[in-house]
Amino acid sequence: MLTFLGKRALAAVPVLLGVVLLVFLILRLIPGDPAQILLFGTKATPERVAELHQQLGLDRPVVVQFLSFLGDLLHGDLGYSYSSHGPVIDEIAERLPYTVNLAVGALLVALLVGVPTGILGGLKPGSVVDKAATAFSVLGLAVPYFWLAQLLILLFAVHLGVLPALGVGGTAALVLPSLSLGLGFAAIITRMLRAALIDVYSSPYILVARAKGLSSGRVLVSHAMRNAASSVTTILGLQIGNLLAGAVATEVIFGRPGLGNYLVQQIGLKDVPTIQGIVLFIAVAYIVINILVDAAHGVLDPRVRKAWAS
Amino acid sequence: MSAVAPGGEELLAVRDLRVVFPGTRPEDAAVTGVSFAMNPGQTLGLVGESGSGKSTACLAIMGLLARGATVTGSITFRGTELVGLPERRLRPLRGKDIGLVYQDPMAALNPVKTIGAQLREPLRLHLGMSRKQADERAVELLDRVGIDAPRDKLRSFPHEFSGGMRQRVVIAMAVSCNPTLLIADEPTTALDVSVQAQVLELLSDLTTDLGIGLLIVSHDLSVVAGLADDVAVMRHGSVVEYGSVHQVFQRPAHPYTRDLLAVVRELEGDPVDAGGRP
Repeated sequence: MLTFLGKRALAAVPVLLGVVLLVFLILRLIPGDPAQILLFGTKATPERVAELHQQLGLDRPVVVQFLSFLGDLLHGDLGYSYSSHGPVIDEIAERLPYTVNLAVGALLVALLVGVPTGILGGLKPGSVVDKAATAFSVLGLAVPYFWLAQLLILLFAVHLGVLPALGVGGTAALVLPSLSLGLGFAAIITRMLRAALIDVYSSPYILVARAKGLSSGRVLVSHAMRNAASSVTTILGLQIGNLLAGAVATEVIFGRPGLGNYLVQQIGLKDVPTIQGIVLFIAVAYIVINILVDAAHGVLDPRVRKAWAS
Repeated sequence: MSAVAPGGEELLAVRDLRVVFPGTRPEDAAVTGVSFAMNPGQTLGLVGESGSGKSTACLAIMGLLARGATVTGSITFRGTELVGLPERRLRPLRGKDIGLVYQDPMAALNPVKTIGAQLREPLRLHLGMSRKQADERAVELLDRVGIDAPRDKLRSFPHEFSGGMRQRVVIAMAVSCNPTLLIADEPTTALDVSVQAQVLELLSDLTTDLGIGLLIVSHDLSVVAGLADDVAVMRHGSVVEYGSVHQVFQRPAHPYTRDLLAVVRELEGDPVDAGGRP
């Protein structure tokens, strides 16, 4: 297991380098001079712009800028925000809890809704329950989460007035954002788990388990679910990345002061170091989560562990 | 050695069994009008080509057919009628009184559970053993079916075993609770020829030693010939010929049986004409 994690961490290094390069280049290729934006509303004489360029290091050649960025990065230094002048790393740390809470809430919604409906559909394919579960998942996949968010706000916050639409006031404020971000994810889990269970239930080992006299509950829990879960975890890892992307728009809609919302604001300000920092942070989170999910795959399936060893 | 007479102390009696799967017409029944019987400790071979309804008949006995299959007729196991028996009354019989050896050993064991965990299941469920007792019994069983270093193997996973070893594990699992009936559905079909003979010998030894009635299903007449007391030949869901091995193989009455025998003899390069052929 440790060798596997080590190998995967090493393999992630070139991926990270690629992300760093890409983020750096894109931010320099899009139009708009950060100095001009910072001086917006003041008297931006060419002298002041040039002075600011020098202060921010933007007067240096792009290659030099990149190498210096990379060098700082290796020391764990993400630079200073153009707008707040604070260290980018502190800006991230301050907003991260709001995003993590949202992601965890959405993941909980996805699992609590997706797993039971997936099991119900997978156990009796073609039944009324299965058709209802399938209808739910098609709907969940078809409805964009940002539109669902608005519907949820209309219903629960405006009409019923039971849940807050905006802000970060405790758990209640987390319910609607988690639902809007998590339900689409739940739909994916439903479909994947249903398909995996139908596949597992056609395997001879399930018949053999039943022939041993196990009850259908025992067959599901101790024989079918573990096999189905190992094929669902892979999808889960990929989808958690989408969850992070979805968190950006969800935070904007619900006015949550998380990383995503902050990222959108800073893009408007062309705050290059902050944007770079947040995008890199999300990329690292994505890579780490995927390594952990692959490790979970190995815990669930001994054949995967065997493949690691060879 | 002859076919069991109706009545008496039968282990298993199947009468006029008929199985219709959902979505098929009644005239396309997978099994129709199948009758046979077994005495305790006896071996019955069910032969026929694939799709002739052999496996369906076996699964019907264990009540393991796909949901929605209609089973009519009568299956009595030690005096209990199994057709229409509710699941909660069938379950205690499965794995305890009736064991199943499935055709494909590569797929018959759960890939993510250890051999030990899979062997312990029926022992703890039916015999109420503790984990430790079940482990001891599992070691005995693995040893009995000819697996080396059985204690170490409890923690192995199925993918670490060859096909022949897996089938030995499946057999150990099937006989673990001392059943009176063992159903072996094509137990050697998926195995290498060299391993087939060993597994058949193991089945034969075990059932003889433990006094287990063996219902062995095969498309291969030579498998059944060496093992069975009685033979039922199935075709298109019906039994076309039924009698003692001696009777059926020496004087086959049905043209289909004669064809089957002729094929076997041709393959074995045996020039002797199929008995009864004019």
